[in-house]
Amino acid sequence: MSPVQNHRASFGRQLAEQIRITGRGLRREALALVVVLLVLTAIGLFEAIRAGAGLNADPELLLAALPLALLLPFAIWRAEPAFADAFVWCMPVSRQRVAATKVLAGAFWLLVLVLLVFAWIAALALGSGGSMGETEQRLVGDASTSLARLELRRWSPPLWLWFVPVFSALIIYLLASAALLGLRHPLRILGVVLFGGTMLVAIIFAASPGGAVGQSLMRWQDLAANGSLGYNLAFTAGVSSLSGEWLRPDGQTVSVWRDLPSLRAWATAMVAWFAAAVILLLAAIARHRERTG
Amino acid sequence: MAKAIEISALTKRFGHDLALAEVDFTVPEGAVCLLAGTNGAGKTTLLRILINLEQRTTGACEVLGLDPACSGAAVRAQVGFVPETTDWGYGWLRVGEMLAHVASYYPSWDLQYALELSRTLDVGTDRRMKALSKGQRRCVQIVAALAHRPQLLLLDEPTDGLDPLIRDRTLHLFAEHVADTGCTAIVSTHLVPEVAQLADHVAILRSGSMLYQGPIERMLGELHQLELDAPSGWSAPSKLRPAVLRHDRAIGRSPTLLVTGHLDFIQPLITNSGATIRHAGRPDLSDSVVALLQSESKS
Repeated sequence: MSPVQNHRASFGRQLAEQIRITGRGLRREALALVVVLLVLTAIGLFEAIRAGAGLNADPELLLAALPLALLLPFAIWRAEPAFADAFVWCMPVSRQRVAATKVLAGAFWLLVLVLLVFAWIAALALGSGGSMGETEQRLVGDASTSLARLELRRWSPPLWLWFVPVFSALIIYLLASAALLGLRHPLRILGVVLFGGTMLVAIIFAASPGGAVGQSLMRWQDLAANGSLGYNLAFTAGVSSLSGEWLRPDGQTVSVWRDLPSLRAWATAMVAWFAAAVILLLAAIARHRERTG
Repeated sequence: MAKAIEISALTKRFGHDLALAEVDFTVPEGAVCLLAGTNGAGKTTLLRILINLEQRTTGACEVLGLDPACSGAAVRAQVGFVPETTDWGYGWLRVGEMLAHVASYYPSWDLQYALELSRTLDVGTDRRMKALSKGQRRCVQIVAALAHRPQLLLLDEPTDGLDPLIRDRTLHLFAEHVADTGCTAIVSTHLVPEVAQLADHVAILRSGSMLYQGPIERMLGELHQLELDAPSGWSAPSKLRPAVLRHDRAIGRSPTLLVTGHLDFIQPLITNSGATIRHAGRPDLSDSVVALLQSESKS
């Protein structure tokens, strides 16, 4: 008997189908989001009318999409648990491919979601007579030496800053997908790791406050958060970590920027995190390779 | 005759548990094979290995000329699979959407045939999957398994949950489908009489071992059901015992034996033991399967 013909759908068709079916499965969540946006619109417009000024949109507002990016994989895979006897594994497609198309379909809907939120922010800002990105004066420099030596610079969010939350959401989505596909019990395992880590750190600091191990942990934590490849830089372009509050001699606090967000610094950190997320995702998908005897 | 499925010395372990032990199993192309066995015998595991939903531990396996462990997706493309479970997820989808989703994976999907099957099995395409009963979900699975006209059907308890009417229609559908397409089918079921008319081959599993496999005609041809006139307290002579698969004794009724072998050898042994054969006939498939399973239980 001759081997069977390969009567299977193309990758493009599978991806299109996954986008369709995944989108269909997210209708309830989409409806909930629309309701939330409508409520926020009403609140925003009420505030704009009360203040008599338009609403200014800020790229940081888009960071609100990050928690959604974290939860999205759980919504996508709820009907077909990755480590259970799901219907999707019976299909005439390699397990790795079906996992990849499902993740890509989710990424597609995530980008649609972020674009919709962006459009909503833009519509709210422009509709209320505000602007896209507020121009402001920022104090820039090393505030630890002397506040007098700080430089006053005019700043308005550059175009690329609007793309930061888009990539951040994508990276978080890929990491969450990797956890879901790579770990049999992701919430349980991540919960144990988080709890165990926190407890360990607490014990270390309690046993030896200001000790060498504690200091070392603090340095690592700072590096992970605020280093040149830290998550603050990768996910927010440093918006949250580049500035700090400083006390002036007259007792007032001022916001001082160590440096202004830089496209190059963000792109470097973002690419590193993106690559790490893709590698983790590929490793997770590899767990679902067609089982060979 | 070409073989649709050829398995040799296949073993499957789940940790320390042996699910299948050195199983040899062959199904000729175009055959309908009844896969029977006790609970936990390994029937579902065997079917899942055929489409690489489970990996075998050792042994060789070829399905439609391909090794499912190496070409799982290509094998699944040619297989219509009705799994044991009826829970598909996708509760939010309407039946029509669910079938359209399945269809998208099979370029050979026959829409007209799918509609015809849906009508026959009373599958309402507008209903949501989560609103369906177990039997109705089973019907959707049957439509999905048949509508792409696969070369091989793997049916795991296909009539489980179906009402008598739909069960009858389903069995007719299977018979028509097999006759029209000439496909091979393996039907795993505990309800042997249901598929007795449909199957021409039988495979019997018990505790992971293959007790018997081959054409049903051959198996039934080797078995005899003997109704005896025997004195009270009669028992089969020791020379006959290895051939006895089943010995039914009932108070006030004549004993019945289900034996394997030639009557020319069996008849003198019975006569010499003080009993006579009142009636000799062929057992039905269900009785034969039960007798084979019982005989192995005793041994």
